[in-house]
Amino acid sequence: MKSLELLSEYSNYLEEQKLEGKKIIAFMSHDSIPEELIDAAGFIPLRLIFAGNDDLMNASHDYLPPSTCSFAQSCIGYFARKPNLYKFLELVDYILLSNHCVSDICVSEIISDNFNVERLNLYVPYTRNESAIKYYKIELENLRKELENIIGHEIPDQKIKESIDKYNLFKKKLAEIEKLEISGSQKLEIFQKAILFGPKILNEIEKLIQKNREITSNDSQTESNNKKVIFTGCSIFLGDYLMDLIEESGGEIVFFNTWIGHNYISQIYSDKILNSTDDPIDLFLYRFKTNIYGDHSVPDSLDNEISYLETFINEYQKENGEKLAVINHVIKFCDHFSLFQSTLKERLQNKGIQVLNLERDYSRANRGQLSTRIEAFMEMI
Amino acid sequence: MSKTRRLEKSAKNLTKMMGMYYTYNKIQAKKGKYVVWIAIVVPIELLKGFDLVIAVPENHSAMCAAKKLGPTLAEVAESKGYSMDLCSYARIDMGSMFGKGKNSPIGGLPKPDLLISNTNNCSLLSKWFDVYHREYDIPHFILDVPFCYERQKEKDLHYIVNQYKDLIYLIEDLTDQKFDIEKVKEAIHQTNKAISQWKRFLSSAAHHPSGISAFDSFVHMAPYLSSHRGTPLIVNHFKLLADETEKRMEEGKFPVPEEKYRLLWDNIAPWHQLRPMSKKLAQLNANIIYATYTSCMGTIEGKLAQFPLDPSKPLFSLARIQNATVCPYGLELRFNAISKMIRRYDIDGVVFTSNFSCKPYSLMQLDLMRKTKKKFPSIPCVMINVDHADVRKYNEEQVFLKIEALLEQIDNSRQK
Repeated sequence: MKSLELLSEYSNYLEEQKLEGKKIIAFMSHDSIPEELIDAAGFIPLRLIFAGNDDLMNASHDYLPPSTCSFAQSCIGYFARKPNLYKFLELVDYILLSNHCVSDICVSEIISDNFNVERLNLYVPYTRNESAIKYYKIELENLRKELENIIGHEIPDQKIKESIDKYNLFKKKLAEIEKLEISGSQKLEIFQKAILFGPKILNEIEKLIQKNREITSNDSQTESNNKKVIFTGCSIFLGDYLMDLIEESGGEIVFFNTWIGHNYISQIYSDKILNSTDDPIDLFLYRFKTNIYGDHSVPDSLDNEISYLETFINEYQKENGEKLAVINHVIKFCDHFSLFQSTLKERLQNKGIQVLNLERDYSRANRGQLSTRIEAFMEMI
Repeated sequence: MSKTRRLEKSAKNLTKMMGMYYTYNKIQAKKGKYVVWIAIVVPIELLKGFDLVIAVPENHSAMCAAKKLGPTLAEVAESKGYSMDLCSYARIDMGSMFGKGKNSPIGGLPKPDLLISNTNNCSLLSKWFDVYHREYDIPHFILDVPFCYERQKEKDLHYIVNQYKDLIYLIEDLTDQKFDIEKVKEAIHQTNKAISQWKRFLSSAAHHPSGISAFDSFVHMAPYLSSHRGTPLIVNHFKLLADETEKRMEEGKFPVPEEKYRLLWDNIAPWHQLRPMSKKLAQLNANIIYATYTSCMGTIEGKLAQFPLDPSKPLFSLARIQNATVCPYGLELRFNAISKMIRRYDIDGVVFTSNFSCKPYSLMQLDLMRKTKKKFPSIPCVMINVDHADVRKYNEEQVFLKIEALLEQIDNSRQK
C-alpha cells in the first residue's frame, strides 16, 4: 500500500517538474552514475528501481528472452505496459545507457529503440587502475558536454559543486536513518523514496529523524524477538513483496548492505575531500576510485564485501550481544550476484555466520516457496 | 556425406593441431613455463611477445561440450552452489577446476599463474575469472573495452592501447621476461595471412549449393582461439581448409548436395549438437551455410571483409580489432552485418538462436529479428532455443519443429 502512495506522489512530482519545463533522464540503478551532474544541468534523474511481477515479465518477452535478469525484464515490462501508476514513464526524455552489466546495456538500448526515448551513453570502467580513471574522466566530460548541448549553455563548475554538496548532505542524513530504531520495512521505504526524490525530501527526512528520536527517548525500549539479519546482494526494489515475507517470517533487517541502502548512503565525501578541489569532476573520480564494494568493479569487490560484512557483524555482536545472520538476495539471471553467492556463503559460514542464498524472480507463484525457505532459515537462526 | 569425410585432410590436421596444443601446454606447464588463462577475445598476438603457455577456458568448455561431457562437469560447479542459470562455459570450466581436471577429456587446463579477462563480449567473464582469481590467489588483469555502437572512437582506442601497455608491464614484472614487439609484429603478419585464408574458406558459402556448412566453420575456428593463432601453423591449416573445400567443390562434393534451403545462423554453436543437427538438416535438404559467429573473426564493426592488421602499429591494430565482436552492443552494427550476409550469400531463411548461456548474443535478437523481417519480408526468420554447451537445456524436437516450420515458410514464400 505504501508503495502505491509513494508512486502516486512521485508521479505528481514528475508531472509538476515537467510542467516547469524540466526534462527527465532515466537510468538503471548504478553506483557510478553522476546524478549530481544530471541535477546540476537542470534535469530530473530518474532511477529505475521498480520491482516486477508476472505480467510485466511476460510483457518483456516481446523484446527479451526469458533467460534475462528478472529486474531487466521488469524494466522493459514497465515501458511496454505503462501501468497506471507508472504513466510517468511516458514523461522520460532520455535514457542514460551505462554498463552495470550486459542486461543494463541491452535493456537501455531496447528502451531507446522501441519506446522513442533518446539515448545518452556513459561507459563506466570495470577496473580502478590509472587508465580506467583517466577514461572515466573522459566519459564524464563527454556526458557533461552532451548535457550542455541539450540545455544550450555551459554547466558551471560551481553549480555541479553545489549539487554535490546538496546530495552529500542528503546522504549524511540518510546515514542517520540507518541507525534509527525503526523496522527494516520502514527504513527501506525511506531509502526507496530517497533514491527516487533525492535531496528534495531532505526536510521530511530531518523531521522523521527528529520525531523518531523523541519517541525513542520517551519510550522504554522493548526487546524484540525477531531474528536480526543483514540483507545483501540485489536490492529490494519498489513494490517487491520480499520485505513482507521476511518480516512475516519473524525476520528483522537491521542493515541493508545493498545499493538501495548502505552502498548508496556510504558514498559520502568528507569536508576535507570536498574542499580539496575546485573541479567537481575530480570529486566524481574520487568516488569512483574509492568505491571498492560495488559489484560492478573487478577484481576483489567480493573479497572487500565479505570482509566488510564480517567486520560489521562482529562489531554489532560486541555492541548488542547478538550475532547477525545474512540473507543474500539474488535476482534470477543476475550473473554478478549469482557468481558471488557460492563464495559468499562458504566464506561467511566458515566464520560461523549463517547465510541464506535467496535466488528468485518476481513471479507470484514463487511466493509460497520463498516464504517457506525464509521461515526455515529464521527457525534455524 | 559426413563433414569429416568431405574435408578429411583438414579434419585430420585439426585433430593433430588441437591435440598438439593441449599436450604442448601440459608439458610446458610441467616444465615450469608461465601459464596464462585468457578470455577468448584477448588478443593472443600480443601475448606472443612473451614465452607463455596460453590456455582458453571458453575453448576448453566448448571442447568438453562437444565430447558430451558438459553436464557432468557443470554439475560439479552446480553442486558447489553455482546456479544452473549461469553460462554453461563458466559452469563447465569451473567444474573442471573444482574437480582438478577429472572428467575433462584433457584432464583440465594447466594451473594458471595469471588470468586475463575482457569485458567487451560479456560482463560475466570477468566475474567468472574472478572465481579463479580467488581460488588460485593469482593476479587477474581485466581488459576493459568500452561500447561498440559505431566506428571506434579515438578515446576508446587509446584506452585499450594503454591497457595493453599496462598488461605488458605486468607480465614483464611477473615473469622477468622482456617483451619482444618483433614477435608480436610477426604474429600479426601471420594472423593477417590466416584470416585471409579463413575468408576464402567462408566465401565458398556463396556457391549454389554451398561449398561449406556453418558447422564446418564452427569446428575449424578452434585453432584460432588457441595459441596457434599468430603462427604459420594456423595459416597452413586455414589454407588447407580453403584448398580442400574448393577441391571438393570442383569434384561436385557439397555438404548438402541437394541443397534446397540456405540458412543463416545467429549465435554461438550448440557444441553438443554439431553432428546430429547438421545431419538432420541435411536430410531436409537444408544447410546452415553461414554464421555471424564465425564471420566476425578478423573483422570489425559488423563488416564482413577482413580488417587487415598493421604490423607496423601492433598495439593500435590489436586495439582496433577489439571492436570486432558481434555482440552485445550496437543493434545497428549487427543488423548491417546480417543484411550483408543475407544478400551476399543468397540466404533463404534466418535461424536466430536464443542461447540460454549467452545473454550478450541473445538479448537483442528479438529486435534484430523484427528489423530483419521488416527489411527482408520475403526471408522468413525463426527463433529457436539452445544452450551452447549444456545439452540438458536443449530440446531437439522443439527446435526441429520450428526449423521445419521455417522451411515451410520458405516454400510458401517461394510460391508467392
